[in-house]
Amino acid sequence: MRYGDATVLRDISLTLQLGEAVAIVGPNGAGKSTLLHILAGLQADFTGSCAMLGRDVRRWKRQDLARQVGMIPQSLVMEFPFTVEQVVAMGRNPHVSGMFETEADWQAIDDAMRLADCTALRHRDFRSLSGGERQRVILASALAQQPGILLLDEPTTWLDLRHQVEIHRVLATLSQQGMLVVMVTHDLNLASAFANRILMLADGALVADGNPCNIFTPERIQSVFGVQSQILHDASGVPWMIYGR
Amino acid sequence: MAARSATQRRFFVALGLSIALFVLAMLLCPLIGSVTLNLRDAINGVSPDTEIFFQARLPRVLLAAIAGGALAVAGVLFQALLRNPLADPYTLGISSGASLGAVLAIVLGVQGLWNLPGVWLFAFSGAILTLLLVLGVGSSGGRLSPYTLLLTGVSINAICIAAVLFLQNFSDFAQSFAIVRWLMGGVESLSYGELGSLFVVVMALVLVSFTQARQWNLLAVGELWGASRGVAVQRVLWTGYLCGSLLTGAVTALAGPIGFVGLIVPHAVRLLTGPDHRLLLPCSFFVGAAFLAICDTVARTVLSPADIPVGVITALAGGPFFVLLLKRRQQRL
Repeated sequence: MRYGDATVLRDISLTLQLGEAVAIVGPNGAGKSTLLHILAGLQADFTGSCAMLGRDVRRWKRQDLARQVGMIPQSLVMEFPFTVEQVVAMGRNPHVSGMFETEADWQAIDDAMRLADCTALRHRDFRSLSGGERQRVILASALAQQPGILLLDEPTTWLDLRHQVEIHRVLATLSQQGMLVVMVTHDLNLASAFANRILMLADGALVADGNPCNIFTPERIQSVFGVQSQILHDASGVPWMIYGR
Repeated sequence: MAARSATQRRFFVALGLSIALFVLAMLLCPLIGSVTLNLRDAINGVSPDTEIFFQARLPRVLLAAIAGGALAVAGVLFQALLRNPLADPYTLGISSGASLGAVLAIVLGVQGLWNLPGVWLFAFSGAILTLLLVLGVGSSGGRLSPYTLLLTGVSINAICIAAVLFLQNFSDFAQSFAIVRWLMGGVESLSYGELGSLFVVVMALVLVSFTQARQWNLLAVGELWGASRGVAVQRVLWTGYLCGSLLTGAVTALAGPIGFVGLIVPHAVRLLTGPDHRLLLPCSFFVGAAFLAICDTVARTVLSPADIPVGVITALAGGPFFVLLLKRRQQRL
């Protein structure tokens, strides 16, 4: 994968399974978002192959792909006064065949808003929301899409503590129910608590792939992030990192 | 559930209101004019009422309606495609291209071809050439980018306007008057055959854009947003730019660049309906048609028997309205 003269990703080979909760971590510019965009079929300009259900993502019809893969972008600039309900309803686009949503579509929209805790925002102008509220609405829109695979680019950046914890619970539940959830994040502790598989990228290469216990070691965090750390384990064996000592 | 049916009720109320406004304008505008008409005489073929009604006023009201509807729809499309609420049908420079064509025809004294006036043919060719130029420069490898298109449009606009001013230097007094008149935009009485062809072209383009109304919603948010939610982005973008440009080109060739319709009608309608294109597009069509028909009626009556170009009226009515709208928006932010 190259941008102009710069190679962003190289020699990455991996297989993701439904039901996995995957976190992609790594320093700025490591290629995390690029990898996510390739998985989402939004980045067609790369060498090699990326197949979903046996067919290259670049050969899927957009609508068919969107029924399988939901994607949450890092940010959204809104120019027009769409309401929260309308933004969430856009997630149904790949499923709606006529001009308007059906009763089943509205059911999915309601369920998604409840899961992402934004039912109360329903009639608000999206542009009037805080960063965290926006993030929940965008998540609801992806949930309304009812995809088998959900890709998230730093979904909890703007969230307060309660909503961070809640969203991770929702995502963990979804993955236990068989959804493949792939999340790019900067928060290693969060990745450790949420994911059962960590992909660590550095300079466009996949430097580690495995469960949090095996991936998060002081040596590796030192070599990839250049930060000293101490690793603790909680009662269930999940590693927790304390930095700078 | 209650909230949902309320939303739907708002949909139907807004659509009903705009259709009612449209029907009212269509019924009243042909009756108003410098000469008071007796409708019964007009329908029963009593001269001169019947000539004034069927040959002078009705075709003119119909052209104003078709042009107004087309410009409003084109405005909605360009605002969504360029994700810029200040975009209008002329943002890509199509009207300047048409103007250059028209002015060229006036200065060269081009005669008509196949029963069509030279000014129309040249104006429409100018619009099409500009469209091809802008889309050609603004796309790379078949992919369209709003920012490049916007900048290309602005540049081509400037070039065409410079060329128009240059050509005007070589015109005599009568030509100069014709040029100024054309540049202000105005509606004339066409034959019913000409109106019919324009109507068919405009309706076809409007209906094509209606069929993609749901996709416009997603594209108005963002291309990545649309793509990740199943919109075939490039196909829908091309359809939109072609529909919007052809609507603008066809109308501008016949009526000149009539400003503000494509800018304020979408904004005013959006205040009522919200930004959902499934409602915004049809409502804008009807309100745009009614708005221009009413403006044209004002244009031919306010200083009657003198006939002011309708572009002057839309700008005078639309300009202050738009400033108010911006002020309101500023206060809300």
